[in-house]
Amino acid sequence: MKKLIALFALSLVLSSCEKEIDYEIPNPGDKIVVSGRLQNGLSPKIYISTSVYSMLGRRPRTSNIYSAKLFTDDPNSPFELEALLDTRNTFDSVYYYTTSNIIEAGKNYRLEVSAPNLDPASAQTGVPLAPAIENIRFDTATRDLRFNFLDDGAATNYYIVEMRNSTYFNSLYMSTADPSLDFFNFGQDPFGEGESRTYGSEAFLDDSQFNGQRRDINIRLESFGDKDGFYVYLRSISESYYRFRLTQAAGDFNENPFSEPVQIFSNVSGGYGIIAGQSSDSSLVRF
Amino acid sequence: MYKFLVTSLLTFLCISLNAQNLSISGYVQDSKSQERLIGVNLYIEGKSIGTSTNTFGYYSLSLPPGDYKLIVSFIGYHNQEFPINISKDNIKLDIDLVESNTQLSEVVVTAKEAEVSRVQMSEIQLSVAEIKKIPAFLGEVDIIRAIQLLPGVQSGNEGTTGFYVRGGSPDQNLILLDGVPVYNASHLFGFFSVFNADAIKNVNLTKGGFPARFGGRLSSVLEIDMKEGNLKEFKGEGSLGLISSKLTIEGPIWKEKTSFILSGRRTYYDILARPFIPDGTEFGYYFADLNAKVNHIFSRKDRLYLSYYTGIDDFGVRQEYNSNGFFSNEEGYDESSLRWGNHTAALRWNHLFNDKLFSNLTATFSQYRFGIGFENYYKSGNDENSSGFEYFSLIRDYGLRYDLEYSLNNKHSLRYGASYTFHTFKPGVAQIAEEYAGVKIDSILNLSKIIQANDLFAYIEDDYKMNERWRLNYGLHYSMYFTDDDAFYHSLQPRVAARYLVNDDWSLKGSYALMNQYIHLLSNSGIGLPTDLWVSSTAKVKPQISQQVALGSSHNLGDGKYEFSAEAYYKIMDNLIEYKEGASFIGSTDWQNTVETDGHGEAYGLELLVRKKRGKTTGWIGYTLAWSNRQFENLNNGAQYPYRYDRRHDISVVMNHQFSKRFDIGLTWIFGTGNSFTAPVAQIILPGMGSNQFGYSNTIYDRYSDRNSLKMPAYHRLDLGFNWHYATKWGEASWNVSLYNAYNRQNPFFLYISTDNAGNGRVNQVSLFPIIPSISYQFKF
Repeated sequence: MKKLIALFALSLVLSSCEKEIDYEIPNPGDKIVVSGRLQNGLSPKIYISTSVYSMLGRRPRTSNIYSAKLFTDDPNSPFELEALLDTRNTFDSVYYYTTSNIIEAGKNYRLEVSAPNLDPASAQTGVPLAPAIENIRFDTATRDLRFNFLDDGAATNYYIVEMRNSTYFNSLYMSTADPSLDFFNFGQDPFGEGESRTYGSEAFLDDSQFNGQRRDINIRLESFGDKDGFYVYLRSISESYYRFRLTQAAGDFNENPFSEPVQIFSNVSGGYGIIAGQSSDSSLVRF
Repeated sequence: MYKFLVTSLLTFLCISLNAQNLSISGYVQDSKSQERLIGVNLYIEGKSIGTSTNTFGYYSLSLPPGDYKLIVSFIGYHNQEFPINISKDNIKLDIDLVESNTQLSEVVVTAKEAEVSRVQMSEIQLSVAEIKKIPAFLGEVDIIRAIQLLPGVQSGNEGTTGFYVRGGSPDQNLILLDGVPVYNASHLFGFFSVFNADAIKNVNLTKGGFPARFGGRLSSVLEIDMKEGNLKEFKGEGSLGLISSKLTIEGPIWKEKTSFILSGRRTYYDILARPFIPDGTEFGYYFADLNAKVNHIFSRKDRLYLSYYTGIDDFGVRQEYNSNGFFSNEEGYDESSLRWGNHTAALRWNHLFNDKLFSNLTATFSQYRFGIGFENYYKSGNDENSSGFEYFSLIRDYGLRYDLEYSLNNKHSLRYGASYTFHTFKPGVAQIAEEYAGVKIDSILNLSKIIQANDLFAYIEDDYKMNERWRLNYGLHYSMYFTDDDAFYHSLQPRVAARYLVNDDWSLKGSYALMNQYIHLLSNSGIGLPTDLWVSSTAKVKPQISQQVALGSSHNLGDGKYEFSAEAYYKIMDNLIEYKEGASFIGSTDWQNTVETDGHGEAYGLELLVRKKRGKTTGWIGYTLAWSNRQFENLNNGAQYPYRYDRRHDISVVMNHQFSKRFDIGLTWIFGTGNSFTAPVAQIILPGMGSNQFGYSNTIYDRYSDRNSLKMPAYHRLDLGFNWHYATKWGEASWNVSLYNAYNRQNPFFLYISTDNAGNGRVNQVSLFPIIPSISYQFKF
């Protein structure tokens, strides 16, 4: 479709012309950018950088110049975050901010960041209660996986379902015929054995149709992972993280050159980025 | 509120029934062709009594007994006066108006039933003769382009024929061709409209203050009436242009009883481009349309019209390949196509019950279908396979409408009627065929649910002349809408317009209208691609609603040579829909899951228009000062943002000067504030937030400005047209030379940011059309 429209547009605009113009794109000024997940049972790992004006030929970078504090319900908070070098990245010096304190489900967190010559930024999120995967069954012939979980009726919940290789932890491809289970990066099989199945690697849903009830999940493993088995993850995520992922996916997969650009959701005031809350349960499925 | 309005309406209807009034009524038609004329002014000299002919050329005036002088005037025709003595019986007076050969000899009249004295505001009528004087783009006279030059109407992107009325979106315009809705009025991705000017008689645009008879759209009603066909003699006209040609023939089938008109148009871009396309590739585009109409006069009381329109745009690419090598022997092809088009048909029956009661029954059919297809075939040795995919969307209507006009007395003129439309929406259907190793698969998928909807309305309106100064048009429009997916909506919509005549040349006007719209257009391009989907209101997606108030002032200046009008309006719109960020027309799920609902819109502005209708120089100057905003909970962080075509200033100058009978020049100049757009203002990284939960992401993301908060450079353009007319042995001919964008302004089509060698950003502007000269030859016989 995109190719066809491009061809058509090309045929129409043979006489079109292009020139560089003097146009001042407004400069919003440098702002603090934070990104990281607050995952129950783990220490926080937050990356902090500074935005770059879009007309400058500089790449944004993380650094250790920031002062970051994490506030929580814990009376010992705030926790001062320490800048550490991320050793996984060998091409660039990447810093992340962390503390030895462990993130707990059901608590609220607020991050405050400051740096010289920059406006302070803050973000807050709740970490949802962890869901529990129950009654899990895997049919090795059809490769269909079924399980269920009980939704917390006291809050609006958002979930991600994921499968990962048991050795390398890489994401596995799956499909579903469940119309309310959607994928951030969907694909569709039009034949689908008489049913319309959607495909992807991360399925998501909200509890608007089953608040406080048990929900069955029926997905099919499409990738061939290692021979032993695979992990199933069920993550309960914060609303802001859910909105962030939706807009991130919409931006990544937007193919329409004429559509409005997608603004990635941010829950950071005074800056940009996202602090996400999530709690996970996982189960190892053996073949 | 509603009870009060209903009570008031019924009270007014009962007034003055005792007054004994007689009527003058009849049809007004062209003396040569007997073509009935729409919007002809008829008024009684010295009295504030007047009317104008309806869509079928009929008028009816109620008068107390007495002696009067009836004056009839219409642009492009000689005025006529009739002494009337009305004492006992009603008078039937059919009037033949004689076309004036040139406007030089036109008698200037004080047309009391002109803009100043009409109660209807926010309405502009254009004759095709006026439209044909406007410089043409690539030699093709275009009705929608002419509409875009009126104040309160904005064009979309450069060159396109979408139009935006008073801050509304294109789907909020009800485009009626002989009373039938046209769902996509664009050819060639919007560069031309589907209306062939040679087949059109009249164009009328209502932007606000909608009378109760109109419904179903929020922003405007564009009524386009096809010619009926010459009842007396065979006539033809046509043109040869650079990219298209057209031919129209009309004449009597049964003299003065039955006539027909047939008009066709086709582009030949595909044929002209053929020599430049490499072997093995087929690449073509054309559009064509056909208008046909037959009408038969059974008697003075009964007349039947049958009209039909069909149009198609067809774009296709086919690439063949064939490699015969030592190790392989492969052949095959890839083929892609885009095809879209409308069909409309109307059967109309006019019946005159008596001199005061005119009726029209219309049966309608309308369909718009868009399809996109891919096909490929591959053969290697004995292996052979093929696959095909077609995606299409469709909207189809069957309708029946009955309208009555009753001239109750010299104070009240009533209109009432009802309408039923059965809609079928197929927003996304995919058909897949595949053959591999002799196994065939063929399936049809409805990606979105097919919805069938029943759309009904009834209305009543009264044109009430309270006294010499005050005149009202008020009414009620009640509509119901229900679908097979259990959605049910209904709405009572009050409408009122008032006029106060300050003096013979100056009136003040005001109006209020509540409008409902049960169908929506899903568009994520903003440039009017045929991929835009028509969808129904559903249980989840509510109907659009608007309320509009307008205040205005109309003046006649220079003994009626000039009309000046000023109108201010304020409009709010609710339940608007918009694609979610990044969503598009082909998706995995129902379209309802891809839209933001419950949007709010607000538009307000001021429109000024000076129009000169008579003399050597005719035309108008329009100016619009406008604001148009949108607000959705999940777009732009919930904050209000400017609509894409929020254009603060819009100026249009349209002039034609007739130097002699043989030569005239047309000129248009337009200026508009640049379109709104969104641009990246900062770049960020989110290393911890890649889709991989355990990994590190070095993707750079753009942070954008607030939605539509930036403006492109201003748009302005001058078009010129030169027309030479001459008589031939067989009729008349003329040459037209046009210059589109005469001073070669590089107007912005879109902007984008590129990077220079140092990696710094640069803003680039892409412009579509430079100066484009064109020539066309027109003929009439």
